[in-house]
Amino acid sequence: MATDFPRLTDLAEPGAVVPPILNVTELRKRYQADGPLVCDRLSFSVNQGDFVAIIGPSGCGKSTLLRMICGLLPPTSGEVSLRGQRIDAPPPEMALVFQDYTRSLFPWLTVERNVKFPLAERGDITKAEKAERVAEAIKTVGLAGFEDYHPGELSGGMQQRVAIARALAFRPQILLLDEPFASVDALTKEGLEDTLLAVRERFADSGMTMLLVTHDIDEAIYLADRILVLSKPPCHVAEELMVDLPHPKNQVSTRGMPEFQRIRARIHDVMGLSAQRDGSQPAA
Amino acid sequence: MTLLKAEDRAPGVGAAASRRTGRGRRTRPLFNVRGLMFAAGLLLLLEALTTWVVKSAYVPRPSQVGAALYTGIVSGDLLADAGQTFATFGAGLLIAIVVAVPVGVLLGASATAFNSVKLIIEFLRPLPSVALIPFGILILGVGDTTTIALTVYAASWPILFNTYYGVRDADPVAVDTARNFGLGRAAVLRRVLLPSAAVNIAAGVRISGAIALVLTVTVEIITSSGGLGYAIVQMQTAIRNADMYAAVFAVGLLGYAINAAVAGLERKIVFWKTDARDGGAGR
Ligand SMILES: Nc1ncnc2c1ncn2[C@@H]1O[C@H](COP(=O)(O)OP(=O)(O)OP(=O)(O)O)[C@@H](O)[C@H]1O
Ligand SMILES: [Mg+2]
Repeated sequence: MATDFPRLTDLAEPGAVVPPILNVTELRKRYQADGPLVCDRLSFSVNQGDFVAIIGPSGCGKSTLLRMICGLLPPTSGEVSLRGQRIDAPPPEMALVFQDYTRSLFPWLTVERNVKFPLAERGDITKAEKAERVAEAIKTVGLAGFEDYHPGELSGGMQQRVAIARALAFRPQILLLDEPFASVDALTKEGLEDTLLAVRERFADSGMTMLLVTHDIDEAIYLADRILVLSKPPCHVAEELMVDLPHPKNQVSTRGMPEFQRIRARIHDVMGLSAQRDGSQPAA
Repeated sequence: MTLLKAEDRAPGVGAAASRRTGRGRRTRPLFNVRGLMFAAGLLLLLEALTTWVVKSAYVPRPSQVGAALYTGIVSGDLLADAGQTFATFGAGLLIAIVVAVPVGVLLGASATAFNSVKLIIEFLRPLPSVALIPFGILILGVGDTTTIALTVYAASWPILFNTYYGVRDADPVAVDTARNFGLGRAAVLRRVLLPSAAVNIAAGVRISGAIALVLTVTVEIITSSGGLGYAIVQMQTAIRNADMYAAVFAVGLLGYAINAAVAGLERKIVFWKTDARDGGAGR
């Protein structure tokens, strides 16, 4: 199955027998028929349980890519498939935490009801479980006590955490995060990063797969098992890096490891190089 | 595509209209003291003018109008007329809401539906409602039915257009969020588009409230079908000028009360109005 994509064969884990959960194949996107290409022959695949970070310069098409992956935006050509099935409508297995969290929250609902929103009308979950999931998700992002607030009464970082909690309560098999920690302070951010790792650990048996878009190179290295570096627009995968840092991770010691520094230098190198090719300023 | 007349579009929507944070208590004074004082001064000035300068039987003194208003209220006549006008107005506005909101939602959510009726709307929209009064009388005769029907017609447009724009301009990110969580078209409509449009719908109802009262009273005046409008005509014919002005003043009071009530409801229902969208919280 994965052999359809020659560019990926050398990247696939040796001896991997399980087919990837997600395949992105030769994805191209133009917003207008005569507009510029935003994504150009973007291909990669993701295995179940993977934590993949996607980094790339601002405006290179990362949000566009995530929206295509979760079936909200049709690609111009190419396809995204989930377990071999082509995606053309939002599949129930995925949840996306939007970069634009302010607009993604519903201002007329309280924090609790916002988090409950995706579960509210589902018949397959009991009322008690819904309440439990909601309470747990809110607690996980550190917003206990703010259940009855409305989004308009929260700070940007708090709103962002409500959006994360909502996705956690949904318990998707694949969680897509679009710069989810952009508006929180450094300390809260470290806390949330570890929360994400813990959530993944908890659902490891059900195999929660995570795709994280970020501007923050260190964050990508700290969290991900694999990093996709996107080129300047029109974007394609400029480099794919495996991260081999020991678990459990620690905010201080992990970031001090030589392997961490090596990957860091490599990414800087790649991002600088792809910028040089375009003859402009190096990014990041 | 310029369906929307400037006066239809809610002035306060999205702008810095009454700011309310759901939690903090608003501190709105119960009475606008300065405004009341100015109004009292103006009345005194009018009283002086009509006493010493404009001595005409057709221009009664405010004190005479006040007395007529008082008599009208204690005798119950004016109250009964006001009650009838209010009932007709209320029925018209309610029906307009019940009709226009679903239609507006449908048009806002479906481009096909909108394109189908666009031509008819563009034709009907500029037609002044009062021009339909003879038509209404011809079809329905003189009476509450005609008054209500014409009120519904006039009051429907602002609600319809505001609902339409509210639904159409709903935040695509909010809609995508709901779709991402697996909500179908109907669920998105009910759980995202309709609440999103609530701000516009409420503003539309406020505008329609004013228009509905105008229409109700106009039809009452023209068809002599009862209510405050008829009272005005009656008093005018009887040359009871103070009573006529008292009835006119009663219409004003009714309008003021209706607007205050609708605006109060609006603040309660769409409390998030200016909270989230323009806050400095975003990126
Ligand atoms: N709805 C849209 N219509 C037209 N063009 C769009 C639209 N959304 C994004 N684009 C264009 O696509 C390109 C990539 O946008 P995108 O939001 O995917 O970038 P990004 O990598 O997420 O950037 P950032 O890191 O700043 O969030 C940009 O040039 C942008 O102008
Ligand atoms: Mg983006």
